[in-house]
Amino acid sequence: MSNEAHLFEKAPETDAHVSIAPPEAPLVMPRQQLEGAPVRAPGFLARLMHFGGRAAQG
Amino acid sequence: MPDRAPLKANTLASRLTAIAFAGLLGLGAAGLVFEASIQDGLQTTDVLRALLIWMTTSWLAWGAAQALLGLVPRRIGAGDLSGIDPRNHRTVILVPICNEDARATFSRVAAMDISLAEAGLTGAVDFAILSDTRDDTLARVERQWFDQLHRDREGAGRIYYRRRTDNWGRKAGNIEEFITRSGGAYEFAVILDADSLMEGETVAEMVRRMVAEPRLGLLQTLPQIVGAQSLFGRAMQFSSNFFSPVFSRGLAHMQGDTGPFWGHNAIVRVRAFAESCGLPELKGRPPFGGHILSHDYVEAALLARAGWIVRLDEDLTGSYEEGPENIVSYAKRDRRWCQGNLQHSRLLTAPGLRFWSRFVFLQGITAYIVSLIWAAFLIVSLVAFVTAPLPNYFPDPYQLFPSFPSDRTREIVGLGIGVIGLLILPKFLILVHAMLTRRTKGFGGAFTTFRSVLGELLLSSLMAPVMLMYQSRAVLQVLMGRDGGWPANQRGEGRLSLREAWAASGWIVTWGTLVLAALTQFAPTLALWLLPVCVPMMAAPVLLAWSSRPARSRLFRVPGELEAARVVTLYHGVAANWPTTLEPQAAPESDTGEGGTHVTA
Repeated sequence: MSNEAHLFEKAPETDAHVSIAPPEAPLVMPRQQLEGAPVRAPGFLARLMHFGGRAAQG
Repeated sequence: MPDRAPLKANTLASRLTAIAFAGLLGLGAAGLVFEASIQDGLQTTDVLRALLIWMTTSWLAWGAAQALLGLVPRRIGAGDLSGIDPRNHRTVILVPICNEDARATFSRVAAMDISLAEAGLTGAVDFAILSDTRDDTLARVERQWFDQLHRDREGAGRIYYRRRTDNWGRKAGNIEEFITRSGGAYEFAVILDADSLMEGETVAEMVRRMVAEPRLGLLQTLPQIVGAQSLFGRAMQFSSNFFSPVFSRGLAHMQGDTGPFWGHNAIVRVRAFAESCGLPELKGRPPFGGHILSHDYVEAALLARAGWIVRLDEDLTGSYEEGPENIVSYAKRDRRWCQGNLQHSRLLTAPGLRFWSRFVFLQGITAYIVSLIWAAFLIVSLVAFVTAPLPNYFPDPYQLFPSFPSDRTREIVGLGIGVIGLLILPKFLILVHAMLTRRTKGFGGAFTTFRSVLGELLLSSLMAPVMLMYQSRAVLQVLMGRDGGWPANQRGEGRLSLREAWAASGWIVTWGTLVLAALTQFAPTLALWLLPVCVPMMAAPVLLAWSSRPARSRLFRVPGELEAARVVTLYHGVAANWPTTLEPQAAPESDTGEGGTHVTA
């Protein structure tokens, strides 16, 4: 891989001009609502484990 | 946006059967443990043990129920679709990549393009390779191999490549960027992984099924693992080919129209996906906040929320992927999935989701939490054993003869056998079913398949305690707020030396040794029972290194080894014909657009 990269650095310019980008045809993709009422359990558990871990480390 | 399809009666029946089966078996196990533990008086540990065994046994029974349901045939009802011409429906195959082996990735695309041509789909199906590769050198190599692919397959105007410089949203963001920029050009998009392969005829059939059911938003195939070389990889490959179709059928029975999305080897209706699947960033920091890691489950839930059908058609063949070649690669991938699944705890109360989508989130969370529950059960059992009061043979002061506490050893042994049975029985039933339906022929015949099933059971039993440790660590890390990030997948050969295996599992050896030493000291009779857990932990480095060695034998034979699938043969043909390295080329010109860099040559 590094050899390839090395050779590539020294490569001459190419004059081909074929577009390889996908076609322009935009679509709207609205952000979905996923967070309803706040859920406390994971945060609470995370804090519990955090303090538990710190206590275990002394 | 379609109206929500009502829940089908057979889907509801499957769900209720599985839930009742799991719940009742769990309750039975909990009752046995509780009754046996209170012989010397009720203690807190007795209640805890009963609760923990209820959870673990229910989980095992849930898996068994899935397998048992999978033995029931399923009518997919695609009907006669020969009148539908897939060439009339513009489709794009998306290949999101990030720091992958470019030669292998583009060889696969070339093979699939040949397969599509053989299916008469050239010109109707485009490819878009969507690079999220951060390393500029790697990206240039990608461009070189893309040019090779372009020349080789004359791909102008139908095989595209673009690289994002901003990796917002990781893989989900990569797909989203394509859809917002180019999605309007296509009716359907087949989403693959870098290591995916799919037959052209499979793509055609997927398009036909999407056309036949206008409410279908996403159709998931069951990808089978191919190309495994190591003992571990081949065992997984066998499992994926032999057991997974049955487990997946059971899953499909239960999920019905609220099916799964596994992130790849699936087709989506682009308009439905665009309308429903724009993922937000979750409030807070990773691992619970930020980008949604396991986006596929969420996208499936969002499509179902919007009324689209999400379906798993396990009968669709010709869909392949590669799997991890050693336990360490597996555990690394599992760490990422663990974080993604636990992050779903934030989404359990998301507005408008269907009940089953929430249940699937919960199931995904339980899949990881259960390791900790098993570990907790072992610890509580040890504590209960050590702290148990000595039996009182003369509870009555004027008693002439001793009264012995009721011996419940037989019930506990029965429970142990029952738990093991829940793990083993479904696999043996699948074996019997395969023998009766002559499916074993593709796996080297009935006797070889029987040996492979035994081998898989043995290997998975040896690996189970090691995986339990990796999963427990992953869960604890996530709960402690440690973000595992999104490391690139490690594909290809993965042979581990003993030194590498030790580096990855030395901590497991330490734990195994400590636990066994503690048991021998404080609960010698329990030590014997827990040897099947402690010994594999103590031998973890040997197990890791040994199972990563190449293994070519009749054991774990799969149909693809007897007769390779067409697209796999094409892939090997392309890979053999393409040069191992390429002639140097110039750095490509780039024009930067919104959200990404579109490269032109």
